[in-house]
Formats: sequence, structure tokens, C-alpha cells
Amino acid sequence: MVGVATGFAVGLLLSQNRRLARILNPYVIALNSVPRIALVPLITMIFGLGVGSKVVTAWFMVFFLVFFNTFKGGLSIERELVDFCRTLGGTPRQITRTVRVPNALAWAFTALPNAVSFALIGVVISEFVGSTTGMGYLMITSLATLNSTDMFASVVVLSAVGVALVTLIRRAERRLLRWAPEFR
Amino acid sequence: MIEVEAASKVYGTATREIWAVRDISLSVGGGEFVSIVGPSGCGKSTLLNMIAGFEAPTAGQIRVAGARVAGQIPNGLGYIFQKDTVLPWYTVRQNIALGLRYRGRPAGEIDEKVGALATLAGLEGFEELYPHELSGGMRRRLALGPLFSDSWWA
Repeated sequence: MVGVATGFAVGLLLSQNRRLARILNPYVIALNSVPRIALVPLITMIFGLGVGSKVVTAWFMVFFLVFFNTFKGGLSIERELVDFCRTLGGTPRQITRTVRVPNALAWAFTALPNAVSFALIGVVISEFVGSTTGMGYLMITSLATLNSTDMFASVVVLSAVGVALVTLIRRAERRLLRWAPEFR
Repeated sequence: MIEVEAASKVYGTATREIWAVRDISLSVGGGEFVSIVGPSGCGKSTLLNMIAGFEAPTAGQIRVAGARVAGQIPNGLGYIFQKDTVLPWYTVRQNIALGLRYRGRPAGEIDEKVGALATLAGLEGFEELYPHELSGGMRRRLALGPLFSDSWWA
């Protein structure tokens, strides 16, 4: 949730501020190029074995997916639509709320099913590296004791969580994007 | 009253300057109906964009109702674009109400005007539909709705 919210907010902000986007572009590219898994030990070292490191790892997995989609969405808005709203008296803030946000939302939603998978991957890997609870921890301990039952159970539970989250996202998408032809 | 005085617009590229409009002057009085005709690429849209305040002229000046337009959209100006300028995420009712909402009009006034404008645009009974559910002609009429939300009653 935090990764989606911050990815959406930063993507929308940078799509409206080309200069800031140009300045931050090398840093965004550099951060996005870092293999996510390589950062998990570092994140665990900084944030500890608790929930914090799992949240940060999941955030890192999700943020860029949502960010890039929202950024593209923000750039894709038709200039005529913005100019039209300006002629109606819309202030920049009103135009952001009524034009830019709904348009970017449609783009951001396309990233969400993948974001769920990436978030789960991040959390499980984080639990592999350093944790005393969770599915990843259970899988690692199951491997150590050759307990295939617990290992398969963990995989099934993770799949079920993934399916449930994607179903929730689809429902939210149908509700928030009910104006889109594919949902009518 | 629209007055264009020696207006020019130059777009610069890395290698050359492109004069979209060069030294054009015209005057359009109240109630006058004027068509600007010319081949593709002659600067018609650029001229209209400058009058609407979407783009500032490189040289010269433009006045609408006596006030100078310098990249700012003049009050009370309506502009119809070639493309459908309707918000696809809003219903017919919400699209027509857009300008009124921007200007912070009371809900009662918005309901009253939106109902009347929907009837005027031949969209009565379609208020809860989204733009993609309308025909091309209906969408064009819908794009006109918000522009008349104030002036029609003036």
C-alpha cells in the first residue's frame, strides 16, 4: 500500500514538473537498476529482523512499478483536455484533481497485479535473509528439516494470498475505473 | 471584441526558427462571425491558441474585451477543440457541471443549469451515461455544454 501510494504520488508529481523529472532522472534510473534482491541484506541490516525491513523491501519492489506507469500516464494526458479545463476556469489544483489524477489512476492500476507479485517476492526473500517469523522463515526452516509438507503449504498459502490481493485490486479497479469501456 | 495587433509566433528548433504566424492583425467586433480559412500548417490553430491564451505571442499583442492576453486565458472565452474535449471518467451530468464546479457555484444552481443545458444539447435522459456510451455527435454537443454554463444565462 505504501509503495503504491508513494509511487503514484511521486509519478504524478514528476510528470507535471518536467524540470524536476530531468534532474531526478539519473537517480531514479540508478536506483531502479539496482537488483532488488541485492539490497535485501542491506535493508535487513538497517531496519532489523522485524516487520520494518519487510515493509521497506516490499516498498522497494513495488514503488518503481507504480511510479513508471503513473509517470507515463501523467505525460500522456492530452494537452487539449487541460487547456479546455483552463478555459472553464479550472485552477491548476482543480485540474490535477479532476483530470490528471483520474487519468494517471488508470495507468497505475495496470501495474498493480505485478506489484502484488513483486511485494510478495520481496517479503518472502526478506524473510529468507533475516526473520524469526513468516512464510519465508517457515520455508527456510522446512528446507533445513526436509519438511516438504510445510514447504508446500507455504507455497499454497502464498499463492492464495496473491490471488486474494489481485482479486481485491480487480474489484477496486472495476469500482474506480467504472467509466472505462472495458468495465461497462 | 477581439483585437490582434501585429502578432507573430516563432517556434525555435535546434537548427532553425519556424514562423507559425507572422505579423498578423485583425479585429472581431461583438456579434460578428468570422471564419479563418487557409491551408494546413498556415497558422490558424496557432493564432486561435494565442487568442485563447494557451500560447503567448512572440511579438505583437492581443486583446479580448479590452484586456491584454499574454498567455493567460481571458474571462468568458469559449473554445472548441478539434478533438472531443470531454472527460471520459465523468458522466454527461458531471461534464456539463465541470465549469460551474470549478467556479464554486452552489449545488442548487449547478443542478438547475445542468438540467437545462442537457435539454438544450439534446442530451436529456442521457445524464448518467459516460462519454464512450454516446454517439460522436452527442459527444460534440456534450463538449459544448460546459462552455454555455454561464453565458447562456447572461
